[in-house]
Amino acid sequence: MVKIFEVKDLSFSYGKNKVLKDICLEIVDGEFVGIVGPNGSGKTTFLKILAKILNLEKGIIFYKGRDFRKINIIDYAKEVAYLPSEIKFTFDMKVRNFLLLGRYPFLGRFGKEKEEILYEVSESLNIKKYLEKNIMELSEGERQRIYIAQIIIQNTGTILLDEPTSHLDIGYQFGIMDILKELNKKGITVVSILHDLNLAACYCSKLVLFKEGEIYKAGKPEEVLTYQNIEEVYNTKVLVYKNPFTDKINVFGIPSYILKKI
Amino acid sequence: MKKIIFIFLFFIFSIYFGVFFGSKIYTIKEIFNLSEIEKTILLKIRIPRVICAFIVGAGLSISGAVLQSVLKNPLAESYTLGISGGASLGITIGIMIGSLNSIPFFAFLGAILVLFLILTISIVKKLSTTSIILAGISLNFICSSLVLFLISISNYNRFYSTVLFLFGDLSSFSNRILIYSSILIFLSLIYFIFSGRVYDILSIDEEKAKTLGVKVNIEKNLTYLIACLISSLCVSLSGIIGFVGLIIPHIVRAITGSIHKKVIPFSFLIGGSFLVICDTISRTVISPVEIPVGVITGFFGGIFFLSLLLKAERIW
Repeated sequence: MVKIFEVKDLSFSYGKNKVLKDICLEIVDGEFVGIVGPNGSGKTTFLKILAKILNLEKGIIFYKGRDFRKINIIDYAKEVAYLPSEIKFTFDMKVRNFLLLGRYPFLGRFGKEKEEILYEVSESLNIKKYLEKNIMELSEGERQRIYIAQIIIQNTGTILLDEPTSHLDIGYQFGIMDILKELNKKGITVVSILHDLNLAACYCSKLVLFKEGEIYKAGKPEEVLTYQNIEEVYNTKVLVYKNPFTDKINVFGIPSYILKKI
Repeated sequence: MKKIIFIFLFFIFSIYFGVFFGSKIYTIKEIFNLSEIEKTILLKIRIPRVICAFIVGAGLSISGAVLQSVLKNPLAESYTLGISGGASLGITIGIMIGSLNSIPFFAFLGAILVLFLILTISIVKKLSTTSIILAGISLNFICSSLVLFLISISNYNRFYSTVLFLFGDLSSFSNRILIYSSILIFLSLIYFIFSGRVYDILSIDEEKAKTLGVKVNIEKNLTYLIACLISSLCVSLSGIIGFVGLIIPHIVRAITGSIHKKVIPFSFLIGGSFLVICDTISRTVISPVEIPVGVITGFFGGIFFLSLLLKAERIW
């Protein structure tokens, strides 16, 4: 099994504020990894380092056995794609044109665009009807599908996502996660920050639980999402059980006013 | 396709208007039967002036278009960022020192200095899009005041008349500067067009840009440098002409969409044509007296800027 990422003793700080402390983690080819943890626990910073957006300051990362620092960003863009938690457009843009920019790592300034891939992907994601529309006209859920479509067009072996389902209704949430699962089945390694523990338990093959800049626990969903771990990290009472219908872990937060009654 | 034909017709019309109209208006018939003096006036004065107006309008517009993209700021242009002001201050100092031949060099120094200042302020203070523009306009005022101050303390009448063009005037450019400005601005145009995809990506999201393999810092700095170069050439030719670089890219985006491979060349064409028309109006309205072209562009530009603010608020 190829190790996609091998992270050793990774630390990172913004000024004096230490955000990540001695992170060690391995991510293997074909995994669907969910990164979970409270707000401000360093998840996004960690993902941005993996995406080569932030510089690797302390520690070592191997990407497929190669020294991470020595890979230039154009080669890296052919292998790893990234979706930020939010995209703010300066100018409105046609969906078609936005999608084609996903080919930039391969085309550069001068390469000629081929539109076939556009139709292939938009057919499979059912977004053909949006191609001629402007991106700002779309709802948040539709836009998220477009972003994912651009990543598919980028055609990388690994994709990193920062909360792809936040702000979405339950239909779009499962829609997005289903697309990611399909990609994962085709052999693409998916690493995603997720806020919803139930979604994470449903879809991920491995979970990494962050607490205050450190990895509190990493492993299979049922090993990570125990009530002891969750109560310790999130500082709230929860009920954890295996859903007999899905055979996946379910996590329920318990409101403190109900807790008092018990 | 219709839109493209329309843009080309606009271009041709502006050139026709610029060449045939002025203190004397020619018909097409007359143009073939000109006296020697009229021929000289047309070839040595009017046509170079039309070319100058075109190059300045085109240069300001393409630099505005790319600055808006790399700064992710729809209100950016060399005027609202204070770059033009910096260039004019540089020119004034250059003329005071007495090196009339290197005006564009001093303009470039002034422009770069102001840009560096405003970028530093915006990064250190984490300014919002609109605050950057306010800071830029303030810097512009500071520079203009300094120019006026320098004019006031110098005794030479001649100095006054050499510097006055800085407030927007297309009648006193040097042909030598026009020639190499045209070449440099044309080369910049080609560079910008080929970087169209980069500007598309940068206008979306910088983090996304990095993960698509764009060398964000290199691209941005190079763009700043070229935009400063263009602005300083334009100021050296015609002084400060505001709003053209701001409004033209917006009009073009409304016509062609926001893909930079189209926005940049059409900004070049429409921006150039627009300034030629404005200049021709400024020459003809109360001929033989000339209104400074800045008055015309300021008037149209101001109205447009306002309507843009009111209409497209949601973008920023």
